[in-house]
Amino acid sequence: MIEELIIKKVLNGDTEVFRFFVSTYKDLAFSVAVSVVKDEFTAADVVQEAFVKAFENLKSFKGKSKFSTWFIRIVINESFKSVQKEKVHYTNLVIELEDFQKDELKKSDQKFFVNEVLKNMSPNESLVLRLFYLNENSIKEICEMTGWDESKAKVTLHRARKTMEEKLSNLLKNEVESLL
Amino acid sequence: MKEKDFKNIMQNSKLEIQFSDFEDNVMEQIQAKESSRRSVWSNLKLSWIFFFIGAFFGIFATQFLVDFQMPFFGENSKLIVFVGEILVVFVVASQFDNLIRFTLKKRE
Repeated sequence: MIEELIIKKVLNGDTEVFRFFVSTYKDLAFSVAVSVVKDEFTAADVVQEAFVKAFENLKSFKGKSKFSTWFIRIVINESFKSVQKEKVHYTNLVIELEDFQKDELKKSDQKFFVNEVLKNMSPNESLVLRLFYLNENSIKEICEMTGWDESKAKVTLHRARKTMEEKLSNLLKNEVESLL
Repeated sequence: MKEKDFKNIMQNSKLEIQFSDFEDNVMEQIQAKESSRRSVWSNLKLSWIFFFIGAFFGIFATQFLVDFQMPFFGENSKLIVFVGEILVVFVVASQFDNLIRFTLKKRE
C-alpha cells in the first residue's frame, strides 16, 4: 500500500513526502471540520493543526485501521476542541427567499442550500451526514473516528437525515423536487 | 426521500479548501517542527559531551587540590577541598539526573 510506504519514508526522515497526505486528505478534512466548527477560516486552522499533529504522532499509527480513519479522528478531536475554545453559537437558519427565482435550481444553488443547511445543523448531525453519505464511511468506521458507540451513530444518522430533509423542505418549499 | 436521492443531494456537501497556499503553509510548519526536533537532539548530544568534559575536569581539579596544602584564613585547606568535592559531586549528580530525564523524555 502506498500509504504504508509513505509513512515508512516519513519516519525515516523524508519529511517532504508527507505532502502526499496533505494533498490527498485536505478537502475531506476541511469538509469534516466545517461540519463541526461552522466557519471556513476556523476549519482551515483546525485542519492545519490536525496535519501537524498527525505528523508528530505518526509513530503511534499502528496500521490497524486505514490512515484516513485515524487522521479524520484527529480532525474531529481538534474541531471539537476548537468549538469548546471559541464557544460557537448555532443559530436557526433564516434565509430571505424574496429574491428567490422559482425556476429549476442551478447546481451552484443546490450546493449553497445544502451547505447552508449543514452549517446550521448540530455538529454531530452534519458530521455524521458527511461521513456516511459523502465520504461513504461505514457505521463501524464512523464509530472509530468519533468514539461513539454503534447505537449512538445510528440514532444520530437517522435524526440527521430527518433534520436535513425537514430543513431543506422548509427552505425550498415547492422547489425541493428540483433538487432531485 | 429515497436513500439514493439523499445520497445524491449530499454530494453537494463536498467542500474544497479555497486557500491556494494551504499545502505550503502546512509543510512549512511541519518542516519547522522537524528542524526544531533535530536541533534539540543535536544540542542534547553536545550537552552530554560537555557534561563528561566538565565532570572530568571537576573530579581532576578536586583530586589535584587534595595534594595542595595551603592555609586559608587559618583553616586547613583540606576542609575547603572537601566542601569543593561535595559541590562537584552534587553538581555532577544533579546534572546527570537532568540529562538522563531529558534524554528519555525526548526518546518517548
